[in-house]
Amino acid sequence: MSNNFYQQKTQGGAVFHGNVLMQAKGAIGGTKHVFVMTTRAVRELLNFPPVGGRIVNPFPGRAKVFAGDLCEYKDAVADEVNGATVKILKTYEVAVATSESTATVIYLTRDGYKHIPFVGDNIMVGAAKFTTKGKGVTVTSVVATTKESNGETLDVWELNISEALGTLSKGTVLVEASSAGASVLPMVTNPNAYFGSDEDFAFDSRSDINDFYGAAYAITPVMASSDIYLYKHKMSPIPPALDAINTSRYEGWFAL
Amino acid sequence: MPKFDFNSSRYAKFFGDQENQRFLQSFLDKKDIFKCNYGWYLTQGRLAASASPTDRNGIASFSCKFRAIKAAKMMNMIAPLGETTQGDKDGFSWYTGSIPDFATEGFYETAMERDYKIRQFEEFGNDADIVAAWAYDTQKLMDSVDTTMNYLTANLMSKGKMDYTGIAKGIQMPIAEVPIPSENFKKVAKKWTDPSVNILDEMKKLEYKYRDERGGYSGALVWQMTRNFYHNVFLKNSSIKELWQNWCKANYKAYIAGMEVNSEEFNKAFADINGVSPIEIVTEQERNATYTKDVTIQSWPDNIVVLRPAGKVVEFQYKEILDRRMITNHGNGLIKTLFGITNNGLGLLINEENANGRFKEWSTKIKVAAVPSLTDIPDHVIIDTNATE
Repeated sequence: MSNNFYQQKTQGGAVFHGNVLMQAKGAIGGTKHVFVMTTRAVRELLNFPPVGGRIVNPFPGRAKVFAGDLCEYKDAVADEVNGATVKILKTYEVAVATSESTATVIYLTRDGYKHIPFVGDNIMVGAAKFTTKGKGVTVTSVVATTKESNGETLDVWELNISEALGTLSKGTVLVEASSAGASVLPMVTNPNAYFGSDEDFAFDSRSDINDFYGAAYAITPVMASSDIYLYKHKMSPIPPALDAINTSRYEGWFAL
Repeated sequence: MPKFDFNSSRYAKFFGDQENQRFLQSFLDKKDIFKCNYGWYLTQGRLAASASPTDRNGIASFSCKFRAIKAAKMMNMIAPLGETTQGDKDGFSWYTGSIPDFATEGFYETAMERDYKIRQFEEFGNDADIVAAWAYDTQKLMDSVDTTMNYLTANLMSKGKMDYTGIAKGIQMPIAEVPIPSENFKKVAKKWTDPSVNILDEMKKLEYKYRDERGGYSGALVWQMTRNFYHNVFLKNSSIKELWQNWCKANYKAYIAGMEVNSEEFNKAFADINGVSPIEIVTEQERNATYTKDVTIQSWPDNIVVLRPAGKVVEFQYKEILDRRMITNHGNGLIKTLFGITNNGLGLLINEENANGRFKEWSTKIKVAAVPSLTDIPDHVIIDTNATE
């Protein structure tokens, strides 16, 4: 028997004096390049800050971030209380327009290349600026399902939210809110770094910082700079505030 | 034309091509150059037999198994030819944890600094001063590794958990806790700073109870307390003074009433005591430099006294450092990296020759991926001498 608790957890770690029949299926996906490969003698894409950071808002369960996803890195010099931290800019794309402004059931795109919503998440409509406050609501249920829309069957996350977010069009980008409330800031207010590669969150994360039996994640993100370009159409959904701070002068590309 | 070639100096061989790797390691291994100045943690435990592997989920986990101390049962008196009664089998407990990463500050050398050193060497042909300066700076990095392990080990042994909140300039968070049973966290009837408390009696009672709870365990135990507590509370306690004075009388040693207890002679008196195991003094302090303060801290609180089985009860778990694998397998050929092992195998020294604009740059840093684990968990008793029942 494995001595590794995490392997046991993955394998089930139990004893059964019989025969267990089961199967699974899955796929290993290909790769989607998000960074624009420009010609240089030495490519300076992967520049890391001196110390990584603890991810303050990991996904509560199994989920991923993707190469090129934005995050907010803060060195310990700026926050002695919390030390060096990383906040993921979680974004969600509305798959089906809401039928009315009071709708508390919304549908988000579920295609394997988007952030996964969880019960308990606080979300809000992405505003024009990261410093603009808006209404934050709490996700109360998440179901992976399909939805018919304009003759198409879409894979969606069906979310119940604590309060309506108003009229949402298809393609509206929601972001994680710092909390639920009538006027709150988004979780990320200063995106300044990227995840250099896809990263899997495989475990249940800590419910609070002293929850030793939940997973704590620490990572060193890639520092954003004006000569690192990303293909916009390959990035995670881009909220209006992120689009507004795009410094790239090349259409279809993104840079900070 | 320089008299001597800098590239043949010892200092130059600390960096550069892979052929210098062995020379770097042999220099790091010289015991008369590099010392262990903060080795308290090594008195408490030993390195794990092997590194913990890191799985692709990013977790490097180890597991520690332990069994509670239990005395054996007495036999059944029987008539011959009878069968034996069936005994229960004890299980064992385990805990598993994961291993964080640490890094010292690095020190960097620009091309201008290197050129200055080259000119010195070429003039005098002697790199002793340059090597000594590098060794001095590298010793500080090694000390940084040791002092961090001291902090973590003292945290673990005195509190049952490790917390890096408010420490240094990087990630700050609680790291892990070990499953010490709640009944092992003891309080006292009266604070031991109370002058009316007979500390020796209290220690005897606690130790008797410890052994009784473990079926009359008679193995060696040890008490651990900080130096501050030992000198300013323990030796000043009236029971200790009385013991020492009586011992002086019995051994025809002069003393003056009111004078401080002589520690060396107290140890002789203490050795004659039945019922209280030897005391080990914990000397542990660390320098904590954040962005706004630079202070000396002590991880083991003065009011905490530990009673545990004697011997080394800590195992230092470690894992491969990701930087080494990535650089070795996929490193940029423009950067020349040499690795060295330091701190009894815990530290990975990284010497890099890098590009910085038009010129080169050299740097030295040490990375560590290690954490102490406790192996005496069910028998590790932590007594808060300030907390009353």
